Amino acid sequence: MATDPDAAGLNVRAAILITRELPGTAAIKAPIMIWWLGSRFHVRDESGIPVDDLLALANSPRGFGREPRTKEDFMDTRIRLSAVTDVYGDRTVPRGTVIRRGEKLDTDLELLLPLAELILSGDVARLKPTGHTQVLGREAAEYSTYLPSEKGTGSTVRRLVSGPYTLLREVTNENRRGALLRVETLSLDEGAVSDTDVRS
Amino acid sequence: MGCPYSVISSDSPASPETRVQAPYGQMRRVCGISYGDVFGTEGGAMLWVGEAKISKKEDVPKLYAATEPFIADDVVRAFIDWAEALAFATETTDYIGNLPGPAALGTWVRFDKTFLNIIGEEHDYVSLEQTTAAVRTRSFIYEQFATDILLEGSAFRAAYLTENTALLEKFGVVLDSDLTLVGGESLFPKIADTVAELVPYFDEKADMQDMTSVDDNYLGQPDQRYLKIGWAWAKDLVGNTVTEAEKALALAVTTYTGILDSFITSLPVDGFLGDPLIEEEHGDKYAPLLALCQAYVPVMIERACGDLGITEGERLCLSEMRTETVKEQQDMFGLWRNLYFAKATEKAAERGVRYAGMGDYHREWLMDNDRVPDNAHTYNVSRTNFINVIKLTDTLRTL
Repeated sequence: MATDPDAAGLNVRAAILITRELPGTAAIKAPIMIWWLGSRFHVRDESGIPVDDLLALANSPRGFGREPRTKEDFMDTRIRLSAVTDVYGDRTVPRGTVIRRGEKLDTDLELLLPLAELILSGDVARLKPTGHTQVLGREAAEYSTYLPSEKGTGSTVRRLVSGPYTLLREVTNENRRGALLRVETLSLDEGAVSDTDVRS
Repeated sequence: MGCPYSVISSDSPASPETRVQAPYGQMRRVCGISYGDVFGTEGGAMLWVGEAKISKKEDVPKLYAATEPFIADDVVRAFIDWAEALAFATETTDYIGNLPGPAALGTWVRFDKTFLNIIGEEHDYVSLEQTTAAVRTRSFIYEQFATDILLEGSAFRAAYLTENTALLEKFGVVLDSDLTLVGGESLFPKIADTVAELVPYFDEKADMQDMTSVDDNYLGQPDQRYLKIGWAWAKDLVGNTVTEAEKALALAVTTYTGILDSFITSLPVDGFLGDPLIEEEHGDKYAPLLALCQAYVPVMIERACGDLGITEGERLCLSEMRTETVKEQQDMFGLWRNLYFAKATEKAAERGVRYAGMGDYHREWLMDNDRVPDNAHTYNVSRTNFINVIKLTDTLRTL
């Protein structure tokens, strides 16, 4: 979990694009808006992806979200749904809210937080940068980490981090050439968030 | 009228089966767990009736004495009233029970008492199999089981049973019963999707490594399953063809049966198609498999457009879809699958089936397209939703 040590000062609106490509599946392209105001957040996804699949894109141990295993799963990836998902939470409160199809669901914050934290850098102090570049007009450090797998070679996670933000997160696997998960920050507006943006 | 279903684009009852009749203790063994072993038998008093916790034998009315064992173990059971508790104790309910695991072991679940309960599962979490075991029913349809008539003695039936017997038996299905009663989907859209998908692999334009068991690849496993089932159906087609496309497929089967039949039929259940095919010794299989799949796709397109299991308007909708590229074919076969599945669910509701299991995408597709039958309730049993059900059980345990 990318827990931000300086959450109190957060005021940022970010547009991100989650892309996932896996052989046999329809590519996921999920444009998502994330608002942070202090400890409170709001995430909006209009791609239609079911909530647990969305959360798994942010939090799966293998890095590629919830992967299909059966023919039914693979064919389901070609289903396009129309529902919009809104996720609300507050780090200081143990429960968050998911709103989908007009229905509200209260659930554990820890399930929801990784999605909102996709744009946060987390604690990178112990990591050594492998390079530096510019993204969205900001200086960014590059970090590379390794997610091991039970079955063989693991995945490589490459991140571009600028201050408290992650601007790019990319997961690849050298043995699975067609597998990619990419979380790209398309725009970042600091100071643009008001109370109504994060209130359910 | 245009097709009302959005074309996917991207850069992609007979009568209900009877309840399981078994003493409750035996049912625990059938599920493979003993609640007593897991939760202890030291009088944890987890029985709730209405809003009252029943912890002493003296608190059980004489008429409901059959429920007394429920105060002797640590399993949470929460009944609306004593009548329901008695019905559960005498195994005449099919909508309440404790999950047998591995997911959320012991969680008390409650579904609708009379309607079709549509369970939208994550396949690696709370599943239909666990749900039907908890509520003690064999009245269900499941997406992985076929609605298709599988004729006795056919290669098609034999291949289907080879691939699915283990799962059918886990669900308690008797193999020589009418298997269509538990079918949730037709095999044909899935065979169609598979043969279309495999064309670029056999044409060596896509990487066969995708189909191997290396690392966390899964694609090769379901594609192998449906290639095997599809091959069997195609073998049965020989001598029974009607259309020109079917004749071309039958010709491909007879031309290549010498090189393909033993290879395909000996592929191990739950194996990965790419594992043998990346080996040099099977390099000679690519060309015949390509010819087979290329002949198969037009037959499946014809079948989709003529499928009497969907409405005339739906058949017209499918016939208007482009089917030149693999992606277009898979989009069409995917919609065919969804339309057929919706009809199968409607028919199940009509004949009084109690549970329909499907992936959660499918549950939402039914909702998006207003295809949830009037006499059905939908349930999302994925983690984000289900955590609250678990918490309720945990709360009742600790109060």
